[in-house]
Amino acid sequence: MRSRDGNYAQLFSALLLVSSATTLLAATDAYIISYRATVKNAQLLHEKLSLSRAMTPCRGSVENVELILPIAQSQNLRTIIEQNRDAFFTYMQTQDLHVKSAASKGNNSYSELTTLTLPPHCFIVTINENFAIISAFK
Amino acid sequence: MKTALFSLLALTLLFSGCTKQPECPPPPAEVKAPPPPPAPVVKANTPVLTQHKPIRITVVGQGVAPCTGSCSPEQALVLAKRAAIVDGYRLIAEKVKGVYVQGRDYVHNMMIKSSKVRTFVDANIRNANVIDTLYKDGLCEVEMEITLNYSQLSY
Repeated sequence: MRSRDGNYAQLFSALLLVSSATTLLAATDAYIISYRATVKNAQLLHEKLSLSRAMTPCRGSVENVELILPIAQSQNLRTIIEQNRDAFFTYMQTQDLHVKSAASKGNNSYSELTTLTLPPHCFIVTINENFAIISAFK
Repeated sequence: MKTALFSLLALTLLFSGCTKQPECPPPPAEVKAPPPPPAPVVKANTPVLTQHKPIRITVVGQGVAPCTGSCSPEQALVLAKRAAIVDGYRLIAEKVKGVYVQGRDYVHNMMIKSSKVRTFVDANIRNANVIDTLYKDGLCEVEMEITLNYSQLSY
């Protein structure tokens, strides 16, 4: 039934309810993510992905390129990244990666150690029911 | 009259004498400007980055799985691929930025005891892409490329 003021009040309250529910379901946080892989003589020796919530607000602007990862079970970011490791690794290659390599050739011996590092970088992570959206700060 | 003759003779000797003496220095030759230095020689196939011509660098990185028999084939593939990608990054860094080479020979009693060569690579790389992955017999080969644009250079 149409009220004397129209249906704007009901419409407004419904919109408010939807927006608050969306806000509650989708949590946006800033994370500091870093990665390091060490390869010795063409064999992966060590690989480590570190992530933690940013203790201070990140400064800068958010890049337009974003990574959308599907969520299977857990909403823990580490679990999500572990489950979509290849996709995250591909996305990570758009960031500045530091390569450091040292090779040594002696008498009848050759040794090579290469380290690929993503320095600690700030990422904005939005997690909702189905997806985690990751975008980096410039 | 004699005075005039002597003075005429003296003038004649003065103006014509130097040309007949062999020890006179030759007249100064015209000084020519040195030729301009030759233009730097660029090999035919050397890529040169210009404003409207990006350079695409392609490398093939190789990696092997660290576990032979102790891990599943899928796990071996993932580990080998990761090692191959890191190797590809190293190759790209070698091509783009260069390699530091350090050689050290140890000579004792006029005999060489040891010879060691060390190479270093240190670079930051962004936007490298994996084009193709090939995994066979425990060896993973990853083809990677990077495109260098004039606008991406920072001086």
